[in-house]
Amino acid sequence: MRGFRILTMWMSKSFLLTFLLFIELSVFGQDLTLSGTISDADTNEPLPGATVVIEGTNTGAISDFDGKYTIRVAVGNTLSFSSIGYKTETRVISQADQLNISLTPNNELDEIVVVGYGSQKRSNIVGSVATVNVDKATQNPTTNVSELLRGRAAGVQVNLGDARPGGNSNIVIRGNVSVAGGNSPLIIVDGLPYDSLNDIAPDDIANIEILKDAASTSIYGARASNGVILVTTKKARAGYSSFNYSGFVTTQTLTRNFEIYDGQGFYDFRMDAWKARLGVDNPPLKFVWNENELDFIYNDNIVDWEDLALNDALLTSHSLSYSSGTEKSTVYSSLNYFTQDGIIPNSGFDRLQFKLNYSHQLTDKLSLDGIINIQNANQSRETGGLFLANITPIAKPYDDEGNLVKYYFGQENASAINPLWDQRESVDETETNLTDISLRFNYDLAPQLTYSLKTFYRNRNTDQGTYRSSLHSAGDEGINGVGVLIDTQYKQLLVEHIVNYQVLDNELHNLDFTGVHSYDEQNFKYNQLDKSDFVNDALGYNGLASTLLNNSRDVWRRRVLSFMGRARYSYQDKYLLEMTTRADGASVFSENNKWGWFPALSVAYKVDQDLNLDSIDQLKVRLSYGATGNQGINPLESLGVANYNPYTFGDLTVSGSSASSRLRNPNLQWETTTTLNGGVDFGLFSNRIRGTVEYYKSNTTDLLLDRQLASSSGYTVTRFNVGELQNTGLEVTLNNSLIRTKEVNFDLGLIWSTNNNEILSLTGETQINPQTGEEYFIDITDSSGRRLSIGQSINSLWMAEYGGIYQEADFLEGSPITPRVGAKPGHIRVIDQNQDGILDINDNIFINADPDWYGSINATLRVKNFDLFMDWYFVQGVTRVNSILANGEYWKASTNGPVVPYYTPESPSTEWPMANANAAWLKYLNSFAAKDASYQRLRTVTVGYNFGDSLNQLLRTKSGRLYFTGTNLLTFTDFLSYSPEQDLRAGVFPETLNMTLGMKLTF
Amino acid sequence: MKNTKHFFLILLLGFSTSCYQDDFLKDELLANNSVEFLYSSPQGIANAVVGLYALNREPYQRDWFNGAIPLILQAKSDLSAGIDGEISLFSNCFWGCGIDEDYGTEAAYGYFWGHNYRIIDITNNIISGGELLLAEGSTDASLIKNLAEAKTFRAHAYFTLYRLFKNIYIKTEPTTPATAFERPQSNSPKEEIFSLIREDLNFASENLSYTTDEFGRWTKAAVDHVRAKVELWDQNYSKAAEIVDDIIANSPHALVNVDQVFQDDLQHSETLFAVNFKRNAIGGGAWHQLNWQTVAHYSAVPGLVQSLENGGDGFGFITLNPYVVNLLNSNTNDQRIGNYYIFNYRYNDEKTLPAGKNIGDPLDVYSNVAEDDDFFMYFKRQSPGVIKFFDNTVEPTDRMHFKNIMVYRLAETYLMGAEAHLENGNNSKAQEYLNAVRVRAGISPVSSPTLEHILEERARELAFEGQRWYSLKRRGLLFDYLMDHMNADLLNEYYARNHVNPKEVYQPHMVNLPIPQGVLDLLGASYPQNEGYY
Repeated sequence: MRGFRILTMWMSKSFLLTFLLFIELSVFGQDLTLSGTISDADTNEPLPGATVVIEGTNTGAISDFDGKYTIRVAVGNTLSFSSIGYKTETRVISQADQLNISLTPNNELDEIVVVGYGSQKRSNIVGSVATVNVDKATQNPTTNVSELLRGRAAGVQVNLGDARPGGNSNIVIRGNVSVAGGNSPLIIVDGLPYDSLNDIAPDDIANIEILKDAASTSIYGARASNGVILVTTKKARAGYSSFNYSGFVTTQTLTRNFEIYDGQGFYDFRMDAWKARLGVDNPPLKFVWNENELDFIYNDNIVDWEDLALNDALLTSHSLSYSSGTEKSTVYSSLNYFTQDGIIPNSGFDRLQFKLNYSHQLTDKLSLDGIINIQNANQSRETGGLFLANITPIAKPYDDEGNLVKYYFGQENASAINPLWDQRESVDETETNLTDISLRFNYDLAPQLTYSLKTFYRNRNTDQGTYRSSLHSAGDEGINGVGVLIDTQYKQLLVEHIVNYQVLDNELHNLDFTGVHSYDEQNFKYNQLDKSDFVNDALGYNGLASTLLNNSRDVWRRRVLSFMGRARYSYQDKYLLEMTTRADGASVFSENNKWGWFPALSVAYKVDQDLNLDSIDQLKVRLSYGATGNQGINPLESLGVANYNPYTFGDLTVSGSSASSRLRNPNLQWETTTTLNGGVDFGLFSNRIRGTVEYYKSNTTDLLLDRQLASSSGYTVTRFNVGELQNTGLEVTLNNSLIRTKEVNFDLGLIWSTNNNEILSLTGETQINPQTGEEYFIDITDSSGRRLSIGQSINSLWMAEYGGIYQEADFLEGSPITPRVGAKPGHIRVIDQNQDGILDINDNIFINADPDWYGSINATLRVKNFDLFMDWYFVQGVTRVNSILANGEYWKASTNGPVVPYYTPESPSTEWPMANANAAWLKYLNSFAAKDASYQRLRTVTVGYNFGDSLNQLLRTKSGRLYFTGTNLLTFTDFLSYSPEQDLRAGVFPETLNMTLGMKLTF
Repeated sequence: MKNTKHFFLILLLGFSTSCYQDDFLKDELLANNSVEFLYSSPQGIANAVVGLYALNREPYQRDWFNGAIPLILQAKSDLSAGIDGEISLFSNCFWGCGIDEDYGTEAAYGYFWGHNYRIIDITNNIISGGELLLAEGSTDASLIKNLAEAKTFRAHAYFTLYRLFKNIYIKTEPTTPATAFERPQSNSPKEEIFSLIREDLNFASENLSYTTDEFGRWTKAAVDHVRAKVELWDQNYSKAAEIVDDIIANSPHALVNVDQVFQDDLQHSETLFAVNFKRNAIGGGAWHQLNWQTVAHYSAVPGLVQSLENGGDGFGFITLNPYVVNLLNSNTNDQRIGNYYIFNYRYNDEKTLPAGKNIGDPLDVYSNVAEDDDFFMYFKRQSPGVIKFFDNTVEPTDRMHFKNIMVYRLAETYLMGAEAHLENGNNSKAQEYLNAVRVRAGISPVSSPTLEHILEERARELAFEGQRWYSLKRRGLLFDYLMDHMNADLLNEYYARNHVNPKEVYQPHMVNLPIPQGVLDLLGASYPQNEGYY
């Protein structure tokens, strides 16, 4: 924490400095005072905050609340009038002292959109590019920026990773195109690669574009096969200054759709389990409970662990930014502070971020763009493996004096460790310091020819310390505390040479070329020290310890070298053509397979230009085809690695090594994804209905696969290029401005996506079934245990098919069902697919775990100064194994868990099996626990108030907003958990229901 | 302006040339040794052989299934009663007796298979690398010794695999990326397997000495002990007798007093081969919890808390069954009781002492009777346990032990010799060897030894040391002995309430473990499962 305070001080100083340095200096001395009103051309409403700048100078003015401006100019000067969302107007000044200007709102189609290595008018985009509405996206209070993209763009699937403060989510664009090469999209922020979206402060984000097809992403080549997320942060505009504050406070509350057994419930549950185990109606209590438990039961010592351990928690965010610009230089600077407590005490996250975006025109030909990011983040985690829903409620966590005790069943039951005790005695902190510096020089070699040199350096240091004190169950009994210190250093250097050449730019033809050469180097160092025998607990993991338990060191490096060229051509601004080609060399591949070549081609036709229909504002058809590569594997997989494996002979430690259980592959090469994409963009009735429909088919060949090896080879796994995978999908995006008047707006947005994933081929090896003589292609098991089979999705569960719960009637003579050997009523039934009377792997089926479709509906209603935003999210047809239901300890009633109407002879359930304290019958629990995890969720409701003129005048603000947001308010699902995307198991951190009050002010 | 241009030109050239060095994209090992190093120099081979010892320790410290892995063969023998936890599923045949959705077979036997073949592949690499070095004229003194140790590991792994699974195949070449996906279609004949085992062990015996400065390494006597075992398995009794006589006559090993056999770190003259653990030392291994499983959960009884005298922390998952308890009790004053096994847990907690009991009284509140299912509590909390794995340096409540684990010791050599001589008709020698063990334990000598005498003595002396299952299997007695006294009768009946009596589940073909489906899936389609499993 001390380092953090120093950083805070240092940051506030530098912030102040920046602030002072870049306050604009206006120069006066013109010979005419000009004034007037700036208004909206459509509504004639005055436009406050519009910018007036004398071209070629850094002198300007800003319109006031009534749209009025005053500026001193010389006759013959050119004035430019601009405002966000409007087309800029320019006027040459003659002898006049009054000039009223009305600005026309921007047509969305004329918006400039950031694409790879450049920008493009929206209407001229040829590939598949989805724009995320940042205002809607940033409604949810979180540092988990990935979550902001959920439901915001078609084809973009966000899966909750870790709901812990400082946690993250996984983004998959258009399905999994790779098995092992990673499926995370490439994240580019202001042209620079980021490892995580969470390194961006949501308040700094200006735009997010998502590039989905190969034609759009191929410019990024390596790593782009999973799609690209392009984030642009806010920049200052010339002649305009503002000071912004945005802040919110959120309360987080536990939410779940299940109850856990209370004392009486758990008593009955376990007694029923033992009735079943012993086959008697009244199992002797001494079997079921130990002496302490019986004592607790008689004395009513019942615990609600969640009530004791979990608290509603606060989350607070403050963000300040300043932006200012002159003709020569602009600066945007922000300071963000975020702090969150978890609902589990001891867990939390805080982060301080500083950002500076600076541009300066050094000479008339040379300009400089600089970006500095500095971050300090601290995450604390609760003690590992905590699972409150799982602990027996019959326990005594406090002694008679009210002090916490270590063992909730008493000293003699040393395995029943009080989670509150361990929680108190544990520390797990991670501090991350990130520094990014980017400098980009642009030099105009000729009027149409620009050369840019872009350099980027990232340094991320992570320091993690965990400590289990001498009282903690992992640090007691003569160990005297255990500390683990992990220190990682990550450095990235990226250098790019970019050449832009505008060859033609006239009425008929527009042609430009871009060439890029880049090199990217990443270095990673890791140190770990495990210590014990601490002098005392006072200093935690920073303390002195006399025993070194373990130390390890890891170093790796990754390098990518690339050459890229792109040509964009348009004819009559109607026919569009784009070609890209790229060569990438990656160090992770084997000696002779370093280089891959990835071309792409795309065409579009703006049909609206030939239709000339009033009702159709835009109609564009697009088609693209291209390839991208994937190098998302770890270094060293083409090389043989030996692991340190020492041994003690007597008192002597002797160094030893063993070959890694991963076999090297000397033929490792690029995985290539080729995508065909067709799309239609349309805007109807003055763009009141806008939308995009897209179809794609992407084929991944030479899949990078972690293939399981026969254990008799001496290895378990090897990285392997094999087979082909296909993803096809349909995406629909619709935005309807149903009501558009001066007072009332109502917008309805709909996003719907579906993706079908299928393995087309694998190794090509065949086997002959000894029984049938039939030849078949072999399946492959990857290292995570997934079974890959031709014709199936890669995200498949391979298991016996759940067929209900055996009922008494199934065992009667003449029943249509023949129960499996040893089964009893109340046991799980699975289906004998081939009806050979034997249940074995031949009866297993594949269950596609991926959703059939997912989507969102959002509605925005604005009435005068008030607005209401509502966002529903849907996932349909997804299957997930719920760990707690697959856990035999729960069905044995050894541990607590969700209350379910399980089978008993008195009330035979057809849905839930019998509890049984005997592990032996626990078969097919996985088949049973593979549950439909479809859900519908009201993710966000926001009510906001935007300040009116009088309030703005009173507070001297340019604009202001107060809002209230509820997150995760309603969820409809059959999947028992805290969130339908969370598997209920040990170590899970519950996703919460959040209520936020926030404010945004601009001065 | 010109300067700026030059500046850029230089930058451009500077960056570009740095990129085009030949090895710019080379992937390099920066913090790991390469596998090539391990097999291409005498130092590398020395390193890899130490790695083999660490790998060999792995099963003992596996904490899957509450640490069941190192006790599975004990659980499947006729001397144990499985009461609770995963380990009990192996003794009562709920797990590991079939291939249909059998998690025990899949995970535990699959681990046995993979672990031994991993050792085999590494030894294949060491041996082929070492032989190449020798052919190239290497004169490194340690090289031959390291090769001998590696060959011992290879022979031992094949011997283990064959005894467990029977249908195994031989592979003496290192796996390479080109051969990694090969699928053998058939198992190797027994003769081939045994000839490889003998060849490797003979090499080791010739090149290792009886003593080592590094306790825990294979020595000549330990290798010879394994050789004798191989000959017994092959019913080559005269050869087995010859090897045993040689060990007893010529090696520096000798029996120690009963109270010293499992004392401290096992560094004494009776130990032939032990697996080493060392607390808080790099290379000392993770903890094991064999003691926790084999000592009764006496501490759940009011009046008793965990103490070193009571055998530390126990949870009573698996214990000595009545058959072996009776064998031990059949002689008065068998000193193995109290030294190898704990028969009495004593009241030691003043605070919770029940009325009528005194500190120091043995726990005797439960009996092995059907009434009120009392037998269950008897086995769980009071039954005699095994203290051969007990680490007396840990806290009494700690289940994590770091005691070295005995694998082979001279007492077994004696009993193997007794059996071999008996089969050869040399009764006096058989009597001498058998009585050496009996007399050492404080029980009376026998005058005309029989096979039954020897097997009973093996039970008393070596219970839970992992050899019983093999001995009965090799004599063809495993099925009969299990039918006679597997588990305990009341436990078997109790299991039958929910499932089937394990005696009804267990079939003669089960003396060979099933090859797990996951293993078979990655072998050739016609690779044979053991007879009886389908």
